[in-house]
Amino acid sequence: MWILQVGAAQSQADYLLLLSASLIAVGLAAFIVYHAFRGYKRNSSRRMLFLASGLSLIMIIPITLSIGVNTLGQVIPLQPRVYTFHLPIVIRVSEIVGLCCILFSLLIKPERQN
Amino acid sequence: MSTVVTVDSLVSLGRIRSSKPTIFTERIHVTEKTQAEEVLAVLDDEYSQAILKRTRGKAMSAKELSEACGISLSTIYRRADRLVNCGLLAERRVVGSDGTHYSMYETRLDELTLSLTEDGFEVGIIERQTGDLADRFTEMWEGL
Repeated sequence: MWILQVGAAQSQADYLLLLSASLIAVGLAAFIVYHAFRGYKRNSSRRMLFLASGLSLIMIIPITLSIGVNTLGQVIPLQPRVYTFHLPIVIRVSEIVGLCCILFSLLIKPERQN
Repeated sequence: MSTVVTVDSLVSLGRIRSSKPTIFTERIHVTEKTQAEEVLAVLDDEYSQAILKRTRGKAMSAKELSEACGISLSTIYRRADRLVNCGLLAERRVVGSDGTHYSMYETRLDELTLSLTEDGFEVGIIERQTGDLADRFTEMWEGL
């Protein structure tokens, strides 16, 4: 869902619009992840560590990958299979691992500090 | 990130309630039952007022407060304890880089209303949200 495909027919305007939308999404995700990570550091909460990791794997890594691969595709020609298979599978795996992290974060016992 | 102000709790029958149960006992100490008189008495004090003004939207340690207000450290601790017990001030225990624990204080009071009813005086307090966004986020997620 985060794939930016830049075909020959796709105009530069489309690409820039998609790129800016992706950058906004990755910026917002980074903000939330940053605070989750700070929550982990300040309260030594393992739940927050897994939440931060999960959110990164679901949001930040897939978007960054798709931006990266598409930018790379602008510079050197990549095989179509990269866009149709390799990139999506890596993104899906990252999302699955990320969701597992969040699920794990919900299942582990919260550590209360007294 | 400490400027979020919300209507948290309204108080009835001269008692102050905190609508949010705190998860970590070390984070914010709230006394559930506080009489209206105690709130008014503590607010009548110039040192208490100085503490509340200084820590509005900005958590400070007792030492910082003592230096900023020019009040002795022991007075700061006494007033801060009273304010915390009234629910007007939030106290958060933090661990310093050398491993020692100390408290950071931040004003909870946003608005106070006083009304006279058949039962006597009623004090209503509207709280500001205190604490770091990351800590509130942790509190929420740990509470699930």
